[in-house]
Parts: sequence; structure tokens; C-alpha cells
Amino acid sequence: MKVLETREVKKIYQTPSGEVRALDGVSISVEDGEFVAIIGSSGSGKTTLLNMLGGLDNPTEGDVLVRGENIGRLKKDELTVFRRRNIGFVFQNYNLVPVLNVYENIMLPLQLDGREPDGQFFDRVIDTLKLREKLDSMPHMLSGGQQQRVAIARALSAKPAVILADEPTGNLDSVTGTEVVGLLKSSAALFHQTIMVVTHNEEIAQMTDHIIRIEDGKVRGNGDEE
Amino acid sequence: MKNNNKKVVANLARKEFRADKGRRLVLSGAIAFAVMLLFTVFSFASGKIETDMLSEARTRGVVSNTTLEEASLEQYGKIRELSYIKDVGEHIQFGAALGDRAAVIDEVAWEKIKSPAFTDIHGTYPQKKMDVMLPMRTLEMLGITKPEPGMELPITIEFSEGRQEEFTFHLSGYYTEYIATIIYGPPDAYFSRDFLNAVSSEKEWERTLFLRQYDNISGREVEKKLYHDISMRGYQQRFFGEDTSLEVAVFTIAGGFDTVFVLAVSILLSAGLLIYNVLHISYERKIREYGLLKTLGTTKRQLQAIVFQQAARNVLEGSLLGVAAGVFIALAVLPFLLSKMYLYRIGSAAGMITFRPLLLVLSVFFVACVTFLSSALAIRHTVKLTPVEAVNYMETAAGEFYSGKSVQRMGQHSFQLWQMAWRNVVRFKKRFWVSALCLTLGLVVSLGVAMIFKGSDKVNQIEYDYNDVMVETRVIAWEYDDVAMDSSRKNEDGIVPLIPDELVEKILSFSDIQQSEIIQGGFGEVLVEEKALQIFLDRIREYWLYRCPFVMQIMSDEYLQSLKLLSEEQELYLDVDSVINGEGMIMMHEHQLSPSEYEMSREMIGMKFGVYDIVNKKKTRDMRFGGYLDFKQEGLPESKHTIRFDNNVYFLISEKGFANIRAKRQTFGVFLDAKPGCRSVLEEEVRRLVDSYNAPIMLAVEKAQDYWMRDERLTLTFFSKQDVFTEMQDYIVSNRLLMGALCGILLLMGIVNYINVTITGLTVRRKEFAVMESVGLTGRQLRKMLIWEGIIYSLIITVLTAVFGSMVFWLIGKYMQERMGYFAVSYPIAEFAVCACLLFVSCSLIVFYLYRKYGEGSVALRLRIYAD
Repeated sequence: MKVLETREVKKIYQTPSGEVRALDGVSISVEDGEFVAIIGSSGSGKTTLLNMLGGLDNPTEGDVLVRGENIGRLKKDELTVFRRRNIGFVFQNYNLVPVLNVYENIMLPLQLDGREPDGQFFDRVIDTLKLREKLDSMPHMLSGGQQQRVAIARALSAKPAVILADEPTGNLDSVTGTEVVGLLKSSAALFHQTIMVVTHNEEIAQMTDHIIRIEDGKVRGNGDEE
Repeated sequence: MKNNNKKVVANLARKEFRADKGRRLVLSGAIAFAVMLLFTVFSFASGKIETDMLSEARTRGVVSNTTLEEASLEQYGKIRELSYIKDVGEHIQFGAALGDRAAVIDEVAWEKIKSPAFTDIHGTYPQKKMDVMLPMRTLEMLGITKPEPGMELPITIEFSEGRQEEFTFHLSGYYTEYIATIIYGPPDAYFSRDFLNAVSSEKEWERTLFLRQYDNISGREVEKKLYHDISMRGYQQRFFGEDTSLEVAVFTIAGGFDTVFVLAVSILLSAGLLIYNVLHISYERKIREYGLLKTLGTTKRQLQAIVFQQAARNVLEGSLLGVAAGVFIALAVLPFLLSKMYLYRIGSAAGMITFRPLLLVLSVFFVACVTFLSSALAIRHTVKLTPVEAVNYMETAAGEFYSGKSVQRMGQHSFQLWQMAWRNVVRFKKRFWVSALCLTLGLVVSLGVAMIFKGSDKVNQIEYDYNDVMVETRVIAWEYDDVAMDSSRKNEDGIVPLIPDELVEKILSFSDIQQSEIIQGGFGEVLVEEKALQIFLDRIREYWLYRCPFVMQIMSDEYLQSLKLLSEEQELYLDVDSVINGEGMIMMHEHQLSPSEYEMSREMIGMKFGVYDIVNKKKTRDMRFGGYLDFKQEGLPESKHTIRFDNNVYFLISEKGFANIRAKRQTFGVFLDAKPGCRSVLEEEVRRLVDSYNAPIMLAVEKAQDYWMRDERLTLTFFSKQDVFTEMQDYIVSNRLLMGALCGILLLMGIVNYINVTITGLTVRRKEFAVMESVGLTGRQLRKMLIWEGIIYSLIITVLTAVFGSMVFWLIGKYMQERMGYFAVSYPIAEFAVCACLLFVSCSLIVFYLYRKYGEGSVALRLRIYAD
């Protein structure tokens, strides 16, 4: 079943030196439970695509469908609510809320939505991500790897349709980076969670089920073909 | 190779300055506001002080405050050398002309002491022998409304020794004066020195020196110093030192130089903290950026240079804005508001505001210094950090308030936005307290100033100084003989009552009276040769042949006990006990005794002197002299008195003493206060009564054939508080407008400080808002959270202001009441409520404005462009 789909998505920026086509007719689809990598060189448009998929930015043309819902048609606040229910984010620089402790950060999307947390699921997530001992800690008390694990837990907590991870290992050393990708992979398998990782790291991409290669704003190939 | 890092630093500073418009707006806005605030506040305050000083000088007809009568040329020379005397001018009076004092003054006296108290000065001070300069009031009395310099005027001069002579003078000039002649005597008609030398000898001259001491020296201090430094010609010669007009004006506004100093420092501190606060918060967000620059090799000095260059640009931009706003308010807005009002002796109330470029320069200088100092303090922390620490700064600092186990998890089942708002408010402990204290200080200062101005309002002074209704006699001791000649008016005691008992009873029978006070006493005579009273009577010996009339006022035992206490505390040479026992009398004087005379008076205390009946001239009994008491004695218990003036013999006596000398009791005055809301009714009732009492006297005066019957002095004067209010109306309104504007600006400062801090605080959290939105916080939730933050923050400020302010206001009330008897303590509750409301309203408005502004663009864009 398709969880995510884009149809001829274009993103065009107007700059003083002319038009820049960050995305130029991208059409992809991701199946439920897949662990997908979007790979490309710097400036290829991979982060722009991720932002479109997550509803953080609007395409100039084309449609983005998440669980069949065309998110481009949603109003701003509807999109926010849709996002917190259907999309989880993992950022390169973690983006944890500094005034909330680990537990509160993880619970934030659920609580913002007024939903009851699934205790069993929560326990499994924090055990998988080895965060039980850190639940009362504040973000600044954690290492980079630990903060990223919290960010993954936060993304998982709302059981979204898809988790979008933008260079999740960008700020981490290689050992921790590999560990984090491993956790993402195992989470995808364990919780049947669709995860898309944007990376320029070929090794990390090789750990995923499906690779979408993007260059100059266009999809140049995907894992099925390779 | 030539090192061009100055260019790089300048470029970086310029780029940074231009790049962040929001930050630039807030910083330059804060600087502009501070400049405008300081300039207008200090302009208003100094304008008000100068206006009061001018009014005082014009009332007196002179800008000096200290005088020495019967001065010698030697004393004149020595006083000129004294370091604490700014100016000394010579004034020689040699007689009277056209009802004015015929006088010659020197250049200093004209230029520095007299002419600044006059307006519309035309022509010059008399240079040629037959020149004369007259006040406009005198020329108008002569029927000359359009005087021409050079016109001939025949003037009769009554010389001091009694002879009269007529001369023809040429008018060299004329001036307009505003002297309160009833208190300070007639104005001067000025003649030339040549004329003086030609027509009179030095023996006829009454040389008075007018001294201007420096403003920091009080009247008492200057007297003390002068007595120490100048030899007196005789034991009777004395200095009359009074506080300078500046001191009086400052006292009237705020209770003294010390209060003004504290207020000025508080205002400067508030303005300084406003800038520091904004700079501190905005630089914190730059720490990462500066960390990066350090990583790239920027030295500490280069970083400071970048910061200072940016500060300089902010100062330039902000100062220009502030100067423009300040000048607009000071030169356009307030003069427009005040232009319709007219202040007696001053002219248009708009004159209260004048443009003072020096104040503007000082305001800009102060704000620039604070900006550079604050920038230096703000950057000091950054330059101390290692590049890595700087780059990771926000993450570390963000949670400094919360750590480990102290953290309570927010409700698991219900997400509470206010809890997160609370954490956001207090997340930066230091910043939070600095901001909160700064805002609290600003508000407390503003409210404190409002309280001081309200308390010292002219209306309160009038309320305190005057009763609602006052009925008084016009008769003084040496006139009683004249008025007593009308035997038809004598009562059964054989005296002519000044205010008859029946009239007093009628007045007191009005039901609208809440409080009444009656001053009573009588008249008597003493021998001019009386040894016990020799020191004072020597001054007036020339006026009286054998006996001199006096007035005595009966004082309550309560008053006399307070006087006794004062006498003991200040070691005055008084024998109050003999007065209380009914054996003695204390003589009052208008600060006329020299220190030598006062010292000599000690020996006279306890000496007996004979008291004579003013009507039958028989001796009634001997009384003991209880000493001299200065009406201007500091700490003197308050009391009302009948008419008093220089060279008037005025005794205080007890009820018992009055009975002992068997004098006839007179009522000198009736003072009434009305019940709340009944002032005008009572005023009307008493006015009608007094008018009906005066009417037959006036009729008799008109119809009287005999000269001695034509005496209107037996009529009573009626005076009401409302009369004073009416007379002072324009002054009161313009004063309030000015003070209101000043308080308004100060209160605005507190609010703007709050707005600035809030805007700056929210600006640095733009990325955080984007992150929150990315994880699902809706715009509505974000707004709600921010409003909660505003409510919590303003609540904290409100509570702190209420707590801290209550203490400060209580102290202000206590202190000011000790300083000014008329100070009305009224806590600035209404102003506080307005501030609290403005805080709550502005917190909501800021959130809505900023949310709209920061919510523009996609989340992805905001995540990318806003720095951590």
C-alpha cells in the first residue's frame, strides 16, 4: 500500500540571478513499512523534496499525497495537525525543545494532539532506543547521539504514516551515526514504520531497503532499478 | 604584506547591521526612545524649575536671595572676594520718588541681580546726571502709556532726611516689573550716580548689598559663613540669607536636591537598563555566530571592534530618531498644549518649555556611553567562551533553569500550555531576573515620580496652607488707637471689637463647618526704654516717643508645650515655662536679630517689663521677658497669626498670662473648614455675612463728616481657598499638564521597556517556534502559549511592582511628608492599574503582531533561515 506519493512535484525559487528549479517534476512513491533513502549530492534538491513530503514547504506545482491525502490542499493549521498525526521528523541538529525534558519531548506531538499515549508502545520505543535512564534529563545534558535518539523516539511516538529524517547522522561521529541508522532500520522493522532518510552518505543509503537518487532536482533512479 | 583586517571588520559590522532588520529596529528604537525620554524628561523638569525660579524672582523684583543692609564700602569690597558668593550688587536708596524707591545701583546689581527679574526693558540704565529709569507701572500712574526715551519728566524727590525737591529728568529707559509690593515694597526709580553725588551726602544713603550665593548653599549656611567672614559694623547689622530660587523651586517640585538626585539617577538607570536589557538579549543570540567567527580566527579585539562598530551605527540611527522625536515633543506638542494658558509674571505657559541643546547633547552622550558599555558587557561573555562553547551556547544555556530530578513532568494526559509558557519565561534565570528587575524598577520609578508630583501638587499646598474660609481684621496694634476713637462702636468692656463676638457666633453657627479655629489676643503698650526689650525696641525707638503699642496672641497650652520641646531640642534662648505659668511673654520677630543681638538677648530673659493698657494707658502689671523667637525658626509649631510685619512688636502669651494682665480680648481672625462637599455653600454663607457686616461701616465711611470717622479699617477681610484656586488656576493646570506629560513619558518608558524586552525575547526564539510547529504545534496553540507567557511575565512584573513599589511608595510618602507639610500621600493606584492593563494588553498585541510576522513563509524556510 502506498503511504507516500508525489506527482510531478516542482519547486521553483525566484532569485536575483533568475529562476532556480530545486525540484523539477519529481514523482516517487513509498510503500508502507519501507525504509527508504533519498540520496544526492549537495544542492541536488533532496532536502527540498523531504520538506515537500513533510508539508514543511509547498510545491510550486504538483501534488504530494500522504496516505492518499493531498496535503497541498490543506490550510496552514490543518496541515500542522495532519503533520503531527502522520509525519514524524528527525532533523540533523535534533531540534529538541530545550525547556522540555526527554519524556516531555517524546510525548510532545501526542500531547499537542490531545491523544492518550500508548504505554506499551512507549515502553517498547524507549527500550529500543535505550532512553529509559534519561527520561528526566534535559536536552543539554545529553550527547549528540542521545539527543538524536530522543528525536527518533519523538518521531515514533505519534505512530505517524512516515518518518522523515534529514541527514540524521550529519552532526554525529561515524560510530554513533551508524548506530542511529541502525536504530532507524530496526524501528522501521519492529514498528512497521515507514522511514525516509535524506543523506549524501552512500554507506548509510546502502543500509536502507530502497534508494531514490536525485540530481539537479530530478529523480535519476531508484533502488528498484539498481 | 599590509594587514587589511580593519576593512574586513568594518565590512562584517556593516553587513551584520544591515542583515538583521528586526534586531536593528529594536536596538535603534530602544536608543531613540532613551534619547527622547531623557531629553524630554529633563527638559520638562528644568523648564518647570526655571519657570518657578523666574516667577519667584519676578515676585521679589530681584534674583538675589541674601541682603546686607546699611553696608559699608569695606564690607562691599570684602564680600566681592568671597568664593561662595557669585555676584554682589550695590543698591543705594536715598529717598522716594513717585511712590517708588529713589535708588542708584551699580552695574552688577542692574545686569545680574535686578534686570533678570524684569521684562520689556527699553532704553538704558541712567548714564547722564539727569537721567531716570522708571517702572512702567509708575509711568502709567502718571498717565504715560507710551513712554518715549528722552522725554522730560518733572519728579519730586523726598530725600531720606525729609526734605523735598523737584527736578526735571530725562527718561533714559523703562521696564516692566511684577513685584508683590504688599510684601516686598515698591519698585525702584533709578537715577544716575552723578545725580546722587550732586544732591545728597553719603550720610543719607541706605546702602544695601544684594548677594547671590551659589545654589548649593542654603540661606542659613550663607548667613553663618558671612558672619564668620565679614566684620559687622555694629551688633544690629545683620545679613538676611534665604535659600536660592533654585533650591526653593527644587524643593517645591520634589522636596529637595537629594530627592531630585535620586529621581534623576533612577531615570538614568531605567533608561540605561532599557538599553542594556535589549542589547544583552540580542547579543545572546549572536553568540553562536561570534563563536563561528572565533573559529575562523577572529581575535577578541576584532570581535569587540565588530560589536562596537555596530553599536556606533545603532547609536547614530537611534540618536537621530530620538533627537527628532524629542525636539518635536518639546518644541511642538507641549508648547501647543500650553500656549493657551497664561501664567502671571511669566506670560504664556508655553514659556515653561524651552529648547535646551545641551540637554540633548548630554542625553545622546549618556545613551551612547550606555550602549557601548552594554555592548562591551554583552560581548565580554562571548569572548571568554571557546569557539566550541560559543557554537553550542544555546543548547547549554537553554536549560540552565531546569536540571535533573527537580524537573516535574507535565501532566501525562493533558498537555498544559501554561506550564510550558512558565518554563519559557524563566528558562534564562539571569536574563529573566535582569529583565524583571529592570521593568519593575522602571515602573516603580515612574509611579514614584507620579506619586511625588501628585503629592506636591500646588492644589495640595493651597489646601494645606489655607482654610476654606478666612475672616480677618485689618487693624494692627498702632492703628487701634485710631479706630477706638469711634465711641459708638465700643462694647460693654469699653473696647471697639475688631470682630464682634456676635458675628463670630453667627459664623460658627453654620452647619456646614467641619472645623474652626479662632485666633485671639489683645493690644497693649510697653515703654520704649524698657531694658528687657531693649534689643528689639532700639530698632523702632525713633518711631515712638514714650510707649510703643504691641499685639499679643493667646497661644494654647498645647502649642506652648510643643514650643518648649522645640526650645529644648534646639537650645533656643526661650523661657517657655514662664509663659505657660502666666508670668511671661515671648517676642516674635521676622528673622531680624543678628547673631550678636540674639546672644545678647540671653541676658534679658527673665527680666521684668511693664505692660500698659492700650486704651487707658495705665500699667496693668509686670511680665517676664521670655526671649525672642524667629517666625522663620526651623521646626516652629504651626499656628495662625494676625497681621505681622517688620518692626511690629508681637508677643505670644498664654491664656493664664492674658488673664493676669487683664487685657481686653479681641478676635483677630476666624478660620473655617467646610464639611466635604460644602465648601462653596459655606463660602457663600460667610461671604454674605461679612458683606452685611462691612456694608454699614462702608456707608458710614462714605457719609462721615469727620476725618476720624472715615475709617474703613474696621471692615473685615474675607478670603476663601477658592479665591486662591481661581488666582492660581492657569498655573495649576499648566503645571499638571507638564507634570502629567513627564509622568506619562516615564510610565511609557516602563511599558516600552517591557515591549522591547518581549519583542527581543520572541525574536531570538523564531527558530524554536518553527521547530515546535514542525512537530505539530498549531498556530493557535503557539499563540495561546505565547499569550500565557505574556500573562505570566506581566503578572510577575505586576506583583514585583506591587510589592517593591509598596515599600518604595511608603518611604516616599513618609519622607516627603517630613519635608513638605502639605505633601498629600496618595498611592498611585490608578496609574498602577493603567500600567498593569497596558502590560496585559501589550503582551497580547505583541504576540499577535509577531506571530503574524514570524509565521510568514514555510516552516522549512524558517527552520533554515533563523539561527539557533
